[in-house]
Amino acid sequence: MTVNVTPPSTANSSPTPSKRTSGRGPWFWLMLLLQLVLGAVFLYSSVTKIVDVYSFSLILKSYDLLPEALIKPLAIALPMAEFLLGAAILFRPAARWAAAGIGLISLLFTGVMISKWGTVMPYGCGCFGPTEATPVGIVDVGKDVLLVLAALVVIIASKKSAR
Amino acid sequence: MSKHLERRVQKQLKQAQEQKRKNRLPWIFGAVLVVIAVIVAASFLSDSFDNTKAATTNLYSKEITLPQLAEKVSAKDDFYAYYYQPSCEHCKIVSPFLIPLAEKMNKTMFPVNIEGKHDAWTQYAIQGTPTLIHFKDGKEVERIDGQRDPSVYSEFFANPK
Repeated sequence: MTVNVTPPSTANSSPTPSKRTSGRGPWFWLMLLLQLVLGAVFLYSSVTKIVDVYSFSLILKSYDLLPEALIKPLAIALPMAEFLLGAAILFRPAARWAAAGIGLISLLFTGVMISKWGTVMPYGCGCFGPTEATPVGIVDVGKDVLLVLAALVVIIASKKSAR
Repeated sequence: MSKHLERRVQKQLKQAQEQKRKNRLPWIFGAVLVVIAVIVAASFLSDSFDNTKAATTNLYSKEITLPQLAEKVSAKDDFYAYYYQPSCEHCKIVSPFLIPLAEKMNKTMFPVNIEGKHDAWTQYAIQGTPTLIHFKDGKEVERIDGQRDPSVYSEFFANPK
């Protein structure tokens, strides 16, 4: 039986240093920036909902898309998921998975916003708690699309900077 | 020679596996902590939801809609309209004493939720919540803007214009 194992002493003896140790390229800084932005957006969004879960349930109800039985569980679960994802994306080892989660949630929000295009929502979009009644438009959909794109860039950047 | 190498390789593999297991420990510990925190937070949020819902349902049981308010104004009823928003921090302080106070002083007062209803803000010239307006003979007689002491509301009810 022949086993080909590199002895530990020679594992990193390559004459040219790897990308990870040679310096931090543009992907690293882009990823860091987007991690901070997405983390801040999701943490802020979750906190505005957590401080008044009942008001958030009224926002969910105003969308008229969910059965009554799901309003309370979702009013509790969604801000918590946002908080966990917002916190997780700030940690590099978990950033890729958190970005995938953020991308999926934002994609879901985009779909919901498109389905309500032009409708006047009594509490606004409710993205950061209740606000003025406004019709759903390009700003609301655009915000979510930007979040999806940012999450995608984090996923790509994490792969590139890990090489 | 080959036996010696094999033993060395096995030792290295064992060490690598052990290191992997050790590296996993903080993740497992972190995951357990997160699960506990999620359970505690969910139960706390569920309680907060139920308490706010119960308080809101009981307090605002006499709530009327904006069309109902317009009807009452045009019917020239003598009543008080209490404009509030569920998310308004000042309203959360004022409502628990103002609504029972109106009942105690036998005043007809109807809460009106104007959260996100900007037409109502314009129509009744609301500057902020809470706002208490006394309507009589189809028009506004007087009002109190913002959060005030219970004595101010008590005086307002006791000496109507």
